[in-house]
Amino acid sequence: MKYQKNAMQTSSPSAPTVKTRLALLYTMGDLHAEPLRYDLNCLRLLVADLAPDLLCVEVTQEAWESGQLSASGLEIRSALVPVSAATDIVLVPVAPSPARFSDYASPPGWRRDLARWLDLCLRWGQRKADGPEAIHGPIFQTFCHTLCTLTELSWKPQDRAAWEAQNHSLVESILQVVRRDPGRRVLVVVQCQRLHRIVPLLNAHAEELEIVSYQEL
Amino acid sequence: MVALDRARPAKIRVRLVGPHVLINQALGQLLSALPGFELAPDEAESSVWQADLVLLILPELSDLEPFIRQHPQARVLLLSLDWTPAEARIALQAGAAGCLDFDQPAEALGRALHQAARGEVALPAELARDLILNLAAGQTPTANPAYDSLTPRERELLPLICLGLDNKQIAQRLYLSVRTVENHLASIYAKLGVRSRTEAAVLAIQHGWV
Repeated sequence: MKYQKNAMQTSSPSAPTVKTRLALLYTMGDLHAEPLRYDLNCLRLLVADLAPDLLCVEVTQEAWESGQLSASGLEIRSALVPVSAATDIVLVPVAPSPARFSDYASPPGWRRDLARWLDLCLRWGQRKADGPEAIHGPIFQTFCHTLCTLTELSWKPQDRAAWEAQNHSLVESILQVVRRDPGRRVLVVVQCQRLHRIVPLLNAHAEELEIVSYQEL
Repeated sequence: MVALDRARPAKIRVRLVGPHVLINQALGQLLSALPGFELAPDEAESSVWQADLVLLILPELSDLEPFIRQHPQARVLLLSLDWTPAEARIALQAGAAGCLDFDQPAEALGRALHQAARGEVALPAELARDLILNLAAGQTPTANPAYDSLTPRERELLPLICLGLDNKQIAQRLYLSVRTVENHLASIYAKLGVRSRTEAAVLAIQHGWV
């Protein structure tokens, strides 16, 4: 057999002729396991109902192909992977590294205290939003954007740079998915803390993809 | 939750035909629980005609041909245990749309039924591989200009077809959508002048393309 596993090899980077419809679905990390209206079951049903052609998730290709998902988010292991397994939805790992927002810690002192307080505020906001429509609504997005920006400011500069670089790589992976299979319906599921980072980066590629709300995918 | 009013694809109607009531009932419950399927009522003979697929359990393979002669329009999938490549070949030659093994999880049954409903040949991966290798045994690799007409992506798909992977597995392996894989397969079939993935795989192995 001449077969070689080179699945992530991308096709030509030239602009696709058909625009890809891409929607972003934000998750709330471990809060999904709590008794909320936007719980894991809700996430499962939502993704199954949207039935995208491709489902981009925050897992590294290495972790996905080796089946080692213990380091990935609860919502990925318990909701997205099972939905993909039970349907024709193809899961595409797009995370460049396993680091998540909560893995970046502020230095000890007032900055750590501030970050802890901001995290409590964010969790309060997530509980109050308590539903996919609310989490994707303008009020929560502004709230989340403000808190996350302040939290990022409390990190060390190198951590901020690493977080920014990770989001750039994540967007690059999403663009590779779009270029490899243009014209498909793509759902990108990421933790809500990334939204203010990746949306502007994706918007810069309007010639290749059309960002729509998840309800319109 | 958001209410999404999207037109759902019609359910695939499956008619169960088998000699054992208990097995039929169990399979019926299993199929009803699988998304995208519904059972055709088993009272009337006409339901064989109305069904999209017939899931047939036969004690003897020799009974297949008479059944298919009686119901020439039915897409028949055989369910049995421990298929040999020779038996699978006989079943396919008789006109079966696929051979399924009892020793497979329910999800595999669902996938195979979807495959058959799309007009593909449904075989367990290992059986497909054995069948292809059996058919290709002793054949000398030859060149075929049709291969040159395949795109690099289509050539990438050929070894995966020969491995017996279904469309979802190929899509997952290449990180492409299932619809894209279906399009590539249709293109491969047209270029190679074959009608199914099994024929494409046989041709690929015969000509040493994989």
